Amino acid sequence: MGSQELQKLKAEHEKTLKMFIDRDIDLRQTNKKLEQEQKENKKTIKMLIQRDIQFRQINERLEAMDREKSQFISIAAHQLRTPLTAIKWLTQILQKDTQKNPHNPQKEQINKLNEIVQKVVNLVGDILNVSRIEEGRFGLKYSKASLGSLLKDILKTVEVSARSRKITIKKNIGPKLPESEFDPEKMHLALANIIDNAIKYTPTKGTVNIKATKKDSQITITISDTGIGIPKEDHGRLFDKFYRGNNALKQETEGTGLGLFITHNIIKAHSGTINFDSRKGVGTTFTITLPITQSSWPPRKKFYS
Amino acid sequence: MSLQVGTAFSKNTDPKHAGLEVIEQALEKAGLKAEETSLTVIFSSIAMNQEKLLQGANEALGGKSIIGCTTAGEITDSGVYEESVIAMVIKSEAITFSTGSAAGIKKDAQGAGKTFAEEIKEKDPNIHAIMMMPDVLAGSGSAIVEGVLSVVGEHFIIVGGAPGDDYLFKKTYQYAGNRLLDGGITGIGLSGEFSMGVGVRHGWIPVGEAQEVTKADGAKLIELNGAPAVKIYEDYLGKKTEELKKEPLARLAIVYPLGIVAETAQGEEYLIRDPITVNDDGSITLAAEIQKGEKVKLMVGSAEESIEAAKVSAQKMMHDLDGKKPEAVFMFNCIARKKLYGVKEKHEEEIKAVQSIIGKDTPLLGFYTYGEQAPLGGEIKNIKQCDPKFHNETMVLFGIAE
Repeated sequence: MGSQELQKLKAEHEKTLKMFIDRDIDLRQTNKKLEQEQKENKKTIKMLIQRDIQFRQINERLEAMDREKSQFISIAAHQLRTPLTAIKWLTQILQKDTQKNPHNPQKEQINKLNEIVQKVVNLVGDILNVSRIEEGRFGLKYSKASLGSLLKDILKTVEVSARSRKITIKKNIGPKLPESEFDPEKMHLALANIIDNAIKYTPTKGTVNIKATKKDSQITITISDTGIGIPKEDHGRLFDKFYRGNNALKQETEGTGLGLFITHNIIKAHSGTINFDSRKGVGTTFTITLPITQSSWPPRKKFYS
Repeated sequence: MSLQVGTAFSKNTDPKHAGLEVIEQALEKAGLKAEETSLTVIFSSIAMNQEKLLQGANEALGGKSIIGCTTAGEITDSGVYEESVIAMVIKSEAITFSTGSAAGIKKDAQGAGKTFAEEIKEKDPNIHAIMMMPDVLAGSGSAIVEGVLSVVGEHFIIVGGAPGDDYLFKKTYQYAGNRLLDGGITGIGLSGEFSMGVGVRHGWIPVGEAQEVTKADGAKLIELNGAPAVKIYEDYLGKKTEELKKEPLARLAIVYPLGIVAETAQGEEYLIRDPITVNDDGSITLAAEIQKGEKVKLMVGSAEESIEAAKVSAQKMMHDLDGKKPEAVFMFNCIARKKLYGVKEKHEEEIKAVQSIIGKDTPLLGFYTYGEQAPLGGEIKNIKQCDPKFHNETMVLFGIAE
C-alpha cells in the first residue's frame, strides 16, 4: 500500500473511532439521565404506594366507625323499645277509661297522647329496621301466601283515615291472583309504607288506586294517587335514608324519611323491582314487581319425615 | 355428544335441607336423575353445618360420587354468594372421573399428595389431568403438589384451589363421597376423549428492579440481596419492621404481594407469593415455597387490572378449547382478589367479565380460594412445558367440553 492510501485509511479509522467515542459519550449521558429518571420514578412510586396504604387504612377505620355507629343505633333503639311499650300500654289503658267516660274533659288530650305515642313507637320500629338492614341482619323468612289478601288487609287498616279525609280507594285485585312466596311481615311493612304515603300526600276528595295482576312469572302491583306528586329534583334520592321531598316538607306532613328506604330494601331483597312515575301537583304511581317463587325450591315431600 | 350439566345454589337455613335442595335443583336443571350422574361437585360456606349438609347431599344423590370443599365465598353462573351451598352435577359419556382423597396433610403434606394421587391412578391409570382441593391451612401447597407429581410425573396438568373458611383461617373441610375431611385433600382424575382449557392470570404488575433470594427455607423468605427480607417492604411502604409485624402484613400484601420472576414461552411471568407474617429476624413467611436463587419483584394490584386479567384468563381457556363451546367451567378465584375489590358490585363485575367471554349460560362453578393450582402460564398443550405450580392472587379457570 502506498503512503497516500495509508494516510487515507488512517483518517477513516480516526473518523470512525471519533464517531464511536462520541456515540459512547452520548450513550453514557443518556444512561446517566435514565438512571436519574429511574431514581425519581422509584421515589414517586414509593410516595404513591405510601399514600395508597394511608388511604386504605383510613378507609378501614371509617368502615369500622360506620359499623360502630350502626351498632350503637341498634342498641339505643332496642333500649328505647321497652319503656315505649310500657308507655303505649299505659296510654291505651287511659284511652279505654276515657271511652267508658265520654264526658272526661281530658278525653281529647288522651287521644292525642295515644296518637303521638304510636308515632314514636313506629319511628323506633323504623330505626330498628334500618339498623338491621345496614348490619345485614334483615333476614327474610319466606312462606307461600296471597299478595292480594295482604293488600286487602292493609287497605282495611287505612280505611278509617282515608274516609275521614274523603279519599276514595279503588281496588282492582284479580280473584285469580296466584299465591306467591314472600316474607309476610316484611312485605306488609313494605307495601303499607307506600299505601300510607299515597293517602298521606293526597288532598281531600282525592283517589288512591290499588291494582294487582299476574304477568309472566311476576306479580305486578301498582299504587297510584292524585296527590301532591314528587318534584323531578327529588326523584333521584327518593329511596335514600332520611330523604324527604321538598313539597312533603312544605306540607308539614309527618314522616321520618325512612319508609321508602325500608320498602326499597325489602322489595330488592325479594328480587323484585320498584319504580315510580310522578308529577308535581298531579299524582304519583308506584309500580312494584315481585317474582312468584323465590330461590328456595319447594323440596319434594318424600325426603321429609 | 355433549355433557349434561346443571348448577344450583341454596341458602336454606337448615343445612340438611340445603344439601337436598341444591342437589335436586341442579339435577332438575341438568335434566338428570341422581343415578345418571358421573360426578357432583359441591362448594359450601363453613357457616353451614358440614355433616348435615353432606348428609342431605348424599341422600339426594343416592351414593353417587361427590367431591368438594368449604370456601371463602361461592360462585356460580347465576351469581356470587356467601354462606350458601352450590353444586354442579355432570353426566358425561366421554369423560371418566375418578375420585381420590387423603388425610393427614399436617403430618406429611407430600405423603398426603402421594396417597391422593395413588388412589386416583389405581382407579384409572389413563388419567391425563387432575383437579384437586388441598387444605393449605394444614400444610404447604407446593409440598402437596410434589407428592402428586411423584405419582403422575413431572409434567402433568393439575388444576384446583385451596379450600377456605370465610377468611377465618382456622379450619377448612373437604368432601369425598360421604366422607368429611379436614386437613385433607379431595379431587378427581380425568381421562377420556375430551377437550380442556386452562386460564391462569392475576393482573398484578411488577414494580422496580428484581431482587435475588439469597436465603430461604421452604415458605420462609429470609434474605433478599443479602438483607433481611422485610427490607423490601420497609423500603417501598415506608414502614419499620415493628409496624409491619403489628399491622398484619397479610392485609397490606393483598395489594402488594411479591412476584417470583418466571420465564415462560409467553415471556416473563410472575408467580405471586403472598406474605403472611413478618418474623422477629426480619424474615417473611409466605403462603407457599420460595427458593434460593429465584428473583422477586414487588407487585402492585388494582381492581381494573384484576378484572382485565380475569377476562384474559377466560380468553386463554377458550383458546385452548379450539373453538369448542365450554360445557362446564370451574373457577378457582383467590380470596385476595375479592378483598382487593372490596365491594360486592366489583366482585360481580369480575365474574360477569369472565361470563362475557365464556358465555352467560355456560354452567360455572367456583369458589374464593386460599391459593390456586395450575400449570405456569396455563400451558397444557405442550405437555413437556407443563409446569404445575401453586399460585396466589390468581384467577384459574378450567373448562371442559366433549
